[in-house]
Amino acid sequence: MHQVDDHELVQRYRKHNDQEAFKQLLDRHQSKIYSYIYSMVGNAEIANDIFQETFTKVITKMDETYNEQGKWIAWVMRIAHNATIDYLRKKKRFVDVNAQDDPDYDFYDRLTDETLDDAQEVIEKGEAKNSLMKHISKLPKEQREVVMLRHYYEMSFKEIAELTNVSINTALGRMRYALINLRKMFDKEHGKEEKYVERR
Amino acid sequence: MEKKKNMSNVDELCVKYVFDELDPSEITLVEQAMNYDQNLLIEIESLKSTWRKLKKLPEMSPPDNISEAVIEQAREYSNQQQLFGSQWKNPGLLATAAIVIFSLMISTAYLLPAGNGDSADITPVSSEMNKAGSSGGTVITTSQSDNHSLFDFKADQGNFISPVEQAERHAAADSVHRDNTQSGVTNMQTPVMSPAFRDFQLTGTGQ
Repeated sequence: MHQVDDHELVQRYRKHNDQEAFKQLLDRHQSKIYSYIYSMVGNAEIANDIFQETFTKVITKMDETYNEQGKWIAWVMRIAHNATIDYLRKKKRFVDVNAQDDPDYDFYDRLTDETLDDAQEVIEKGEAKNSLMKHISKLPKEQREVVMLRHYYEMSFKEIAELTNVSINTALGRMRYALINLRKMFDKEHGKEEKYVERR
Repeated sequence: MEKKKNMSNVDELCVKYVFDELDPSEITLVEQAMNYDQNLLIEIESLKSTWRKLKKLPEMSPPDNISEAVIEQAREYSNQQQLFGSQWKNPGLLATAAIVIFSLMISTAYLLPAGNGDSADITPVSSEMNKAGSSGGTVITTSQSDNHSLFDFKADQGNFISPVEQAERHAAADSVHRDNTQSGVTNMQTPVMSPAFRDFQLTGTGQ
């Protein structure tokens, strides 16, 4: 079945006031945008606020600032990223993504990426993912954002560098250190000796 | 320094290799290097396996009420825009509005009085004082209120009085002054001016 691309949906919404087109755009991308915001702020209520703030800007600024030559999602992502960074700067601290921040919130309540049949499997996968998120939350914000932008948006390092206002080499370096740090955390978690081999 | 720079380039190449952002010639270079350097091979495999683990990162959706609120906001905004935009997207309407505005501007320009002495009414007294002072004139102000417009009199801008008319006025004024003085009138209806002030008022020069 032919899937209408983002560009066409945006045009339908802008030129023909097609609400269904906007809904499709939102359905298509909201999980990634929300996941990115949540992974950066670690709090559901704040993530909700930033998500809404992002789309308020998307809706009101689309006619003024969105250039249809570019990818719509990249433009939205820039808004989401800036809103998230603004929040983090205001707070002047990094919020850990863990249960202590938001004890009533279960990260896995709204998982959308898979269907799990076995309850035991749900728990195991939940634990594994929870552990993964905890490790990621321990990364410095700059490393975390590179990992998240690459993971959720499959952004190239050039795009990540532009979005975060750093050079490509810096973005690559941040990714490298993020992966090295995560590797060390995984090894420590499993009681392994540090297996990472320093090349030099 | 050179060594550090070279190592940094290798690091960049490693990450780009893991994320498949190298061109074919660079890929060949990295793979050849891995054959020679086992530590490089281990590092790249380590980076790859760590990244593979991150593939399991969960994706989550915003709460339904948030999504619905966003959709509702988009609907309201585009309806507003359509309502407002449709009116102003009509070229005929735009042209009519432009003509009306232009006509109003033209007619306003004709109806407004040209600059004349009336403009002095809204000139601040301080500037008038400066002008008068610079031209050797005198400014008389009342002391009733500083906040209200003041009576000002610029001597060098007073009406011209011929010497004959001036003499007649002097005579009449002197006569009134003499009559009042002789009859001892104290509660006068007519103001009594001293000759000096009278001269000043008539000529503005206090002769």
